[in-house]
Amino acid sequence: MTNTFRPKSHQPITFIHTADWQLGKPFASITDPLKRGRLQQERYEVVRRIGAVVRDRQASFVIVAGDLFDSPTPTNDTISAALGAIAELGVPVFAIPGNHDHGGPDSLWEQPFFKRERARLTPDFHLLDSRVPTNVALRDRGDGPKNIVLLPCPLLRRHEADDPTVWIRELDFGDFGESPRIVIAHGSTTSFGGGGASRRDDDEDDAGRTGTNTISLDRLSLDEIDYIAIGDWHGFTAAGTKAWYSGTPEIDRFPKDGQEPGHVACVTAARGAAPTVTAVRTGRFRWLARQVALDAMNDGHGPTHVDDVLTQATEAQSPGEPGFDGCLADVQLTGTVSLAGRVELDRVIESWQARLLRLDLADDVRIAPTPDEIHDLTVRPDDPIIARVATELVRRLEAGEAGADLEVVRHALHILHGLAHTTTNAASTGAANA
Amino acid sequence: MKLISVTIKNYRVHKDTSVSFDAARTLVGGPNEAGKSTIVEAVHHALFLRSRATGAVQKAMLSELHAGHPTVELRFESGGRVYEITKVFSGGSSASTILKELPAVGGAGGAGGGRTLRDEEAEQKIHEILQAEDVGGGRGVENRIRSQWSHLWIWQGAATEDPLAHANADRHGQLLRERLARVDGGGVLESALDAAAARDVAARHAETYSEKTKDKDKVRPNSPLGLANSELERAEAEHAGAAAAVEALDEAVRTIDAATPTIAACEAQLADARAEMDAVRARQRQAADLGVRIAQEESAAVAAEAAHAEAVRADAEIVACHREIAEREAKMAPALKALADLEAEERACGARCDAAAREMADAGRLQTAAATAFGLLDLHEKHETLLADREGIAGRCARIAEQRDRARTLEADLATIPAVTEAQVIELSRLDRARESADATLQAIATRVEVTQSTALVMLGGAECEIGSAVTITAPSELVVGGPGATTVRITPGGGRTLAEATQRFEEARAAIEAALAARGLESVEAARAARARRQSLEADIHAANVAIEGLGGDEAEASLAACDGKIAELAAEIRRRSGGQLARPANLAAAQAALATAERDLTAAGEAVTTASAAVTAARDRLDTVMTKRHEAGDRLRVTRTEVEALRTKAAVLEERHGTGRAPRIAALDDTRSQAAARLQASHRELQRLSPDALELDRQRLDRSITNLQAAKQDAETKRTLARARLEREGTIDPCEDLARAAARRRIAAAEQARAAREADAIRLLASLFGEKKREVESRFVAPLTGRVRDYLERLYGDGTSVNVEHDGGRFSRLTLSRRGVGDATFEFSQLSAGAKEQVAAAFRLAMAEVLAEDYDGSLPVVFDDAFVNSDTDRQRALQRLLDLAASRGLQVIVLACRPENYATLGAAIVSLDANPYVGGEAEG
Repeated sequence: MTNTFRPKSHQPITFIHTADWQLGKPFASITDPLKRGRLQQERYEVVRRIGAVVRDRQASFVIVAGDLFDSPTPTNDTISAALGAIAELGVPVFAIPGNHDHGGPDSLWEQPFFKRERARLTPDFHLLDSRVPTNVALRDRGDGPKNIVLLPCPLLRRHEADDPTVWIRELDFGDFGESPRIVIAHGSTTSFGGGGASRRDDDEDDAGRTGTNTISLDRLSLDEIDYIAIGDWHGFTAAGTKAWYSGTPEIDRFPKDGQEPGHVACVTAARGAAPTVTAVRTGRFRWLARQVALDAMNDGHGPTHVDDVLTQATEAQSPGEPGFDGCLADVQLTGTVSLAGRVELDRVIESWQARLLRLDLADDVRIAPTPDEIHDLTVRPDDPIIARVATELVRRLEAGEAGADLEVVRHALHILHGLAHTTTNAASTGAANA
Repeated sequence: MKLISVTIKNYRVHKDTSVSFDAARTLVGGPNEAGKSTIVEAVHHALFLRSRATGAVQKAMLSELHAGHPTVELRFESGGRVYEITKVFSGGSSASTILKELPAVGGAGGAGGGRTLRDEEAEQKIHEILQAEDVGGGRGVENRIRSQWSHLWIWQGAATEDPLAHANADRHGQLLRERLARVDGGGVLESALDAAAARDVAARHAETYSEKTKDKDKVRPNSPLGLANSELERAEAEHAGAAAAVEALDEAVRTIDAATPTIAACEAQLADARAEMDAVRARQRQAADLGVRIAQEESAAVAAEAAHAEAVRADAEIVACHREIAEREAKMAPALKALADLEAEERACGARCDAAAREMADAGRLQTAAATAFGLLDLHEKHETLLADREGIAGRCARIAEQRDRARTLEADLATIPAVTEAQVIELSRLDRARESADATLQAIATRVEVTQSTALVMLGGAECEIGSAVTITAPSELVVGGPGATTVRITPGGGRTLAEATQRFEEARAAIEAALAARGLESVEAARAARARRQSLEADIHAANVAIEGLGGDEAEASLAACDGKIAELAAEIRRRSGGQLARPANLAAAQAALATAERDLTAAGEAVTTASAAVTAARDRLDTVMTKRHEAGDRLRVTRTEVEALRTKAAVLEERHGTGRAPRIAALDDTRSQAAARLQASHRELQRLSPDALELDRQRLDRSITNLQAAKQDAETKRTLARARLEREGTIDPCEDLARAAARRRIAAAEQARAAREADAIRLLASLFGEKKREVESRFVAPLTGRVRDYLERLYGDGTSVNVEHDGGRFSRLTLSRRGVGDATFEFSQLSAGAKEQVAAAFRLAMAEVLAEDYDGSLPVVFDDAFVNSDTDRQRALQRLLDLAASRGLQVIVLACRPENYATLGAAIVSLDANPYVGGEAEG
């Protein structure tokens, strides 16, 4: 994560590159309002943790490379909370609109409320919503005056068909002197596919954006540029020479394999030198993805196996870190389970749904009655009707009749199994009363 | 268990009747009231009714014919033993029950032989053997007793009852279910757990699905699936709404993006169009100025042309005036000469007229004098002629007066003679002849009585008859001789009635002639004839006188005389008036006529003279008129010509005064001016042509339209942009994107929940259906031994393919149905069957029940049919015997009671015949 940096003739400058805060994200899939509130609140908390990083690393400014807000139409409450959190960072903050909070005519950034609140709460917040070079004279922190040149590539609509960095290709860099030149962009690059689309086709997905907001890094004059800060890709990733995705500082979706969200990039850059880039962890919640295969015929792969896997995965990683109550799990269950096992599995699921911030369950487990269970249900000389019904269901299941919904048959067997084992007492009581 | 025999004593019609039952088939035959039903009732009572029974059921057994208590001795076989029951139904303390166990049928046993039980002990044992419940005694026992073994005992009239009612009866149903559970490998019914599970499934099914047949499979709105469905619907609606809200924002942004370049383009185009418009307007102003100049030049040219033309025209007019004056004056001299000639001729004609008028007056006077003279002479001539006529008329009048005197004398004579006509004379003669004829008839009939000699007084018809005198009597009369009381003879003339009629006719004829004469004042018929002759003579004379008067003219002659006198007087008066009071008569008529002829000739000559003079006057006057007319015309013509000449002279003077002299040079100057104006106008027109004003106007219109359109387009785009901006201005209280995310999540969760609920509901529906199906299967299997046997029997009746079904639910048999191949393949409820089919199906079902139950009774039970097939036709009766035979061959003891035993001839049964009961006086059997 670290590039070697050797200062030459020019003084280096340190800053924090972050993106994809997605403040105001609704987390609508989480039905429990308290859990949902915790996830939403954590996105503001992480901005405060970034403030700690800024102070710790003595960064001069912060770049937010798009998607500061989750929505192009955030509520006033969200805007005020966001600007309040930014104000606490204590350094200038430069942000571009991303695809979630794109600019353009009458966008959120032009709403009177936003302008008022920004003027009152965060005079040091700078929105770069024009594709023009921005020369910034940084406050003297005792090591002399410093200048930087920011080359913002804001998105002015949700899906831009053209490369937002095109304007930089034609740029005359002669005027910029020895100031470090930092490109700020948002989108996927030609070397990296679509942004942070998760496995599930749900509210976290950016559907329908294939082929838009694409940045061709290799067509930029990299000699003239000292750092490219990119947003949109939620994991911390190097996108090429001098180009990084910082990823989101607090994870907000189940990550793709190999992605490491929950960081900011601490960058030290200077004119004509390769930047030094370090990932600093800022995330708190864990978004876990697990696949568990069950086997009705193998006691070791019964419902308790699911319980074991989740218990282990959600253990607090260090003292003070949250346990299962700071976890979201995407669990994919496959394989088979016995009739009794299905009952047990439902209990396990019920528990974990309560414990986790979110259990996203793909329950593809098939009910597969064991021979003993089939015998128990079908060989019942004293209960001829249950036995015959069970026999018919098993016959259908084994025949796998075309057109028959086997899932319904399995479920019917599951219900029948429950009736045969839970109504016994009631039945005998009823008989006694009769 | 089999019945062996029964002996009945003192039981209704039976004094002492014994019947033996065949082990398999017994047919008890006998006419109505022979006591067939009584026998089977007695057997039934022996088996089930306690001997101590009292009341109606006991009284019904009593015999009115036989003394002694009703007693039944029944022998039957059960469990390899033979029993004999003897029951005395005394209705009191002497009632008794004895059960004897006899040696076994085969005679091999005998271990229990001779054992005897009595009364209560015997009754208990009987119930035990029969596995029947004890119905006791007392109130209502007659009904309870009847239900005992009612499934085997088909009482008369009960054959069409639903056999399930008997199968379900407490003890029978219990025994039957126990048997069915054991028979043929055993049928197991649902367990309590089965039932509980089925209830649970049914309840959960009912929770989700409507149970109404109409809405089958309709999901209840408040069920989990119904709630999930409606939640999904609501979530989808919410999502659609949220998506539309976000789309509206995107649309607004797109609208602004699209409107901005449109507005810019419009503005650029507007600038171009306005510049072009300014150029067009400048040229248009130039053209307008030119138009004004052309108008001025046009009027100048017109004026010059007019001035020149006026000068030329005036000159020509003056010349023409002078020429015409000369021409008119030349024509006036001969006209003056002609006028003078006409005036002279007019004077001459006037003189001739006056002369003619004087001649005319003279001739007139002469004519008047001639006419006066002629008139007077004419009156004289008429006067004389009238005087001559008067003399002739006066002579005729004197002769007429003579003839009138004579006629008056004759008519006075005629008035003295009675007025008899010829017809009246003829009528009187006829009446007279009739009277004479009647008289002759009467006289011919009458009797003549003559007293020739008598001493005594003779009285005839009350009148004394003198001797020798004859009396004619025409009516019956009494002849009395010798005073009253002496001899009396009654004489009746003629034929009695004929005499009376003749007398009457005579009297009538006489009265008629006398009345006719009296009416005319005549004495007789002769006098009448004389009067008639005299009248004819006088009337002829009077006629002659009248003819003479007519010949002389009569009244008319006298009137002519008066008229003639009147006219003579008038004429005389007129002559006097004309002659000055003188009447100088001419000498005679001829003189008068001659004088008149002379005067007439004078008058004619005077008239001709007047006519001639009048013609001369007329001719002279005509000529004068003609000359005067010509003279007036010539004068008028001359005056007109003079007036015209004067007018021409005035005109010429006016024109010359106006245009003056030296007209030719002025005309030349005007012509010059005219040419110059035309040349200027032509030049201006060419100039205007070069500006092409029509094209300029089209350009202006085109640019005007273009500017209007561009302004509208720009306005439209600006409005759209403003509206879009207004849509994007937000209050910030809600986030449409967040709403959409929430709605999408809600939809996803609702869809998952709906899928889960649907799967749950499908599974429950599958289970509900399977539970129903399997329950029917289990029940069907349970009742299979019974329905299989029923089918065996019915196939004997209806052939292969007959099947029956009975449901068993909740410990009861129900819904007995029958289906037959080829009969519509339909299934019929028992209640839907015909009476014949009911009794057949019921019989088959009872036999099947008996067969199933018989396994607990050594494989046999008696089944009694008391006139149980009265509704079956002959063919079915025959087939029924095969059915009954099958039952017997399967071990049942079939006992058939029939009033027509011949119907069961082919059953091959042992026959018991009961004779007609000669003592019957009470109720019908049974």
